[in-house]
Amino acid sequence: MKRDIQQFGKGMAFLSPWLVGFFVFTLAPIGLSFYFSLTKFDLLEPPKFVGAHNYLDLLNDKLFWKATGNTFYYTLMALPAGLLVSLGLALLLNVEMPGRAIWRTIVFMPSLVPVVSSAMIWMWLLNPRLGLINGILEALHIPRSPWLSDPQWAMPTLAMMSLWGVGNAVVIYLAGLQDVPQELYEAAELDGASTIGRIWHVTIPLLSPVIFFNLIMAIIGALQVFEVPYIMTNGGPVHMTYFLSMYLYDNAFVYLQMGYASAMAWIMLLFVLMMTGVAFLFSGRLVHYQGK
Amino acid sequence: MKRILSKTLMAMMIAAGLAMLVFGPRPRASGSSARVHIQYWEKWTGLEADQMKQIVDAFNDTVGKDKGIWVDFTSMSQIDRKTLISTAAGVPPDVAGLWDTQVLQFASMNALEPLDDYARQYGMTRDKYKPVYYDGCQYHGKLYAIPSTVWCIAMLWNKAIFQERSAELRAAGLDPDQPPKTIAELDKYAAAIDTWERDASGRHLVRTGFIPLEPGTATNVMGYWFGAQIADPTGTKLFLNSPKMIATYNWIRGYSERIGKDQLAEFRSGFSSGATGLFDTPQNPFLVGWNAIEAQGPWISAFIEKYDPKFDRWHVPADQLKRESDFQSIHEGMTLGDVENILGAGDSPSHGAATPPQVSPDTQLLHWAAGIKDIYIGFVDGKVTVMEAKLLPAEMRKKYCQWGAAPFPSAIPGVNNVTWAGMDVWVVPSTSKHKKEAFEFIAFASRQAEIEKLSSLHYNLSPLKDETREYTENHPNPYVDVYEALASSPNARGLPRVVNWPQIFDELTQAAERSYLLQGSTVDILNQTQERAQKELNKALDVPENSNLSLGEAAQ
Amino acid sequence: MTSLQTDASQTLVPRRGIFAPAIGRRKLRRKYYHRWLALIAMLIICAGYLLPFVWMLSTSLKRVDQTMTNPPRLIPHPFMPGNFWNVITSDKVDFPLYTRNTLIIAALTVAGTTLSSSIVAYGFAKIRFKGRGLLFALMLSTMMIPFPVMMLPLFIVFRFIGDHTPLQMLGTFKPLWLPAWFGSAFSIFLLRQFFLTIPDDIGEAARIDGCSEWGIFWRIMLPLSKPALSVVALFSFMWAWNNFLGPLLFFQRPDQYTLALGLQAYQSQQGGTDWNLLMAASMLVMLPVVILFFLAQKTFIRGIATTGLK
Repeated sequence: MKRDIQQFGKGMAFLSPWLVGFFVFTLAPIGLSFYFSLTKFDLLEPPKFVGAHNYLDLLNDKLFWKATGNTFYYTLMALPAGLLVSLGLALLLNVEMPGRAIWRTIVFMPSLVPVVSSAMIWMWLLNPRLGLINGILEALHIPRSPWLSDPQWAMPTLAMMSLWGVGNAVVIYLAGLQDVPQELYEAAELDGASTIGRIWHVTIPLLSPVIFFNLIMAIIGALQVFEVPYIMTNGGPVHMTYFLSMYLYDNAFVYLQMGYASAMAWIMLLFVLMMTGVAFLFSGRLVHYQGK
Repeated sequence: MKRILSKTLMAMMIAAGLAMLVFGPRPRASGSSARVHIQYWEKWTGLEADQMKQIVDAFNDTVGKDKGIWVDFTSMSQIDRKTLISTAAGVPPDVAGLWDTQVLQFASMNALEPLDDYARQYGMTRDKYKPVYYDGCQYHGKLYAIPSTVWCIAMLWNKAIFQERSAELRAAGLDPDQPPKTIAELDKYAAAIDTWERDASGRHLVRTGFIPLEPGTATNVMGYWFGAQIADPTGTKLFLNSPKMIATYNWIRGYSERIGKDQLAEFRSGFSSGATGLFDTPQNPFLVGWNAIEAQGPWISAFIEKYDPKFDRWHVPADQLKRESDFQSIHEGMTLGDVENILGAGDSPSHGAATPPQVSPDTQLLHWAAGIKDIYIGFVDGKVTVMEAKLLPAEMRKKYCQWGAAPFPSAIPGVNNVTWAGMDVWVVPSTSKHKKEAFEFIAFASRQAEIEKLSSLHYNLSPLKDETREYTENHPNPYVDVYEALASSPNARGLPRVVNWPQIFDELTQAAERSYLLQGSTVDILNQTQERAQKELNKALDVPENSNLSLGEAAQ
Repeated sequence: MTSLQTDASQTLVPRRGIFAPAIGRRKLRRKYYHRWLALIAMLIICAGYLLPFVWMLSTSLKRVDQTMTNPPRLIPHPFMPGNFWNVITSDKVDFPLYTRNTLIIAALTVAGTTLSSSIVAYGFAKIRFKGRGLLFALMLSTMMIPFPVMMLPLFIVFRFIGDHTPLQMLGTFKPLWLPAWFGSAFSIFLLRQFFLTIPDDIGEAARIDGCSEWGIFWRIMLPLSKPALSVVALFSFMWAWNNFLGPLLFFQRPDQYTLALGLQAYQSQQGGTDWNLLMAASMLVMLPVVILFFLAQKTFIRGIATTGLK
């Protein structure tokens, strides 16, 4: 019992920086935003309490459900692809080869481009008429694609573009790959494991805490994606790329329905919690913490 | 070796960073001991912001100094987000630059200070302004904003394309030297100018005469040209599915049906997606000739100057074109001989159409014709002292324009000069602590000289009824008279008087896109749009659901 | 520093990843084959990743009316490298001032995030106490609330602090870097995952030797986590460097602009945007972080000798 208290005290001591900040910079604003979600609030007048009205309205809002569908559709495409590509790239970039430092920098650079510039560049590259990419396709005798202007292709195009920005995840994987002890590889090799076998039986399990981290961050990122599509498509054509985050932003700052937007934010939180909850459930069996 | 190199570079970067931190430029102190500091937040960037900064500086040096007011000017895109949040948190700016779409929204939430008394004090009354703009700033009988730079929509047509397609136009009984005067004529011109190509994969549109959704600025108020009301004057009822709106969207849909939904989509793809597209690039569809006719505001001249200056210098002789660009290399102190080597022989200033600059009596003033500009250079003792490249009066520049402007035709016979008039405005938040001083500044910036300078630089119109000759002659848009006439016309209309126009706007955009894609009949699309939009309007007006009150009563 | 593995029957080779283990002369050929295969794959992939940058560079060297042509042209004509000089010396955008402002914010953010997040992550990873799981879940969920609805509440909190304490927040840089000193959920999560991969026995051994919890953290955990700490430092630097929304909300005067805000000056509402200058400015803004990453790679992609822990 005394040990428990002592441990608790130690835990709190280490957590103290976060706890203080948490209350001031996180809990208070979150509490406020929850309060706003129970009000009709146009930002320029005091909020008016309406209880669960916003949530009920959301349930009946066809556009909300369309945006939700769009967001999950995007996540379903971008999430697995992003995980595979980032892990694959990290493994590839871990190999000793000439110019490795340069390749790593190139893969990481997309995360550094200011959002407006990157959206513009992609809009031009993907312009069905004048873009370089369609030009290259034509030169290779592949039919040109309408990319973002076509209601069916717009979302897959956005998912494809998200693969350009996996640099962050790759860097984290690279840092994690350094922690895999060499002897385990050697032991596996001695046991006759092939390259793929070594990856599957040694690298992945030991990398699993990092994979888990990137998975959670990717879920949060995919469900909250906002800036780039907002600039590139503004939700079009015909709302086919209208993400939840965009509907939320429009409600908050364009239609001045901050209460409605806050309720939407809390429902989005629910979606994220659901998905990460599932991830956590599986993590018990699949994630190996070496320290334990 | 590589490691030493990279470690050295790293150290150098850190050293540079530290040096910058310690020795770098520091934020300047606000620069004044004035009694009152007011914050002015504007959304303009680039040249427009620069021009406003000059006006702010002028104010600070004159009226501001006398009355102890200092204006802190901040101009940044997306500043409206900052304005909203700051105002909501109780620290608003004192003067904010907003759009007309926000005036009713904000005024209905008591976020704006009524300006009637101030305006009266400074003589900024309705008779001094073009009515459509002044009225657009009113809500429930009070004035809540002052127009800053304004615009309206006219029809632009590409003379060169008309000439090119003159055979097809004449065959359809149309005049290639004149723009269409009615909607029916517009449709005929459009069909005659549409150019198709055929290849292995079928028919492809390569140029259109006109398609309703390009460039998209006026799409959602297209109903005006069909006589539709869109909303009632009290702003409580929407009429999005009225017969006239149905006519409007049937007209829009008609283009998709005539051209073919897929061909139209293919043609349009890439024109505008999201917030921008090709509109704000050198490949603007009107400039490169993909659309021969567009409904567009006066700012087209800005794009022409930046992206394709030759569009406004049609048929200018090559040597005069060269003179205009060579003028950059003339500087003070050059001799007459040098100048004539570059520009050729000069002639008498009386040959110039633009007003020559005032010079001292001992100056020898010479003139060179340079297409749409007149170059005047003054020499004292054989050396350059004064040099100016002045635009010809707007009327005379028209013949050099590859394009023309005319009122966008209306569908109602006998109703002419219909336009949608939009604007940027200045407002004073109701929670500002220095309202009187804020308006002092607005009044200064609204003086004729300042406002005309500002509007010209924005390639926009002046909101004032009175215009100086200098403004109309030197305005960068040669067709400023067409736009000005439209803006003063009795059929000029501002935004629908609803407090949640941004949301209705989005609904109408969806209706237009769905019409193009032939997703359902026009009546169905508009009925659905009306239902959604009216619900949203009721929500914004706090009308209780399932209320039996007529909406008119509820609004009171 | 790569660690070397020697054995009488093996060649002296640096430690590598999974594709090329240090075993056997016979396997050396396979190792080289793998290396070149990887290199070719990498070249193809990098070509795809580089395409947007090539286009960006190309645009930044063009004259504004050539920034979009039909058909698209990669080689600028006329070639205008002066655009970069134009951007740096522009009197519209005070690059040196904005750089300094951004540096201040970035430096304070990096220092605060790295320090506080590692302390908190250690608490979550290595100290078993009641309610730890719950608090961790709570912390994670704070990342999941979309930022637009947090903007106003945060602003209100900062104003509240300014009104009721001697600490003025609005109108200064503090709202941008002060919260970083209280931990960032992203960094805490990341570091916690890394700390968990370090065996507990190390801590146990030190504890038995009489070392305090703080001592274990400071003298054992941190040095072992250099790669993870470098990643956290890099990311928080990047984030602070490119942050637009934060400075937009909290600055009061133009001389407080950061680089991200300065970039906006090249976008025009009505007059036509100087795309070439915008791209040139974007490349200049990116450059320091790219160089930083390139030079500092070794700090988080070094091999560490976990076997040395025995």
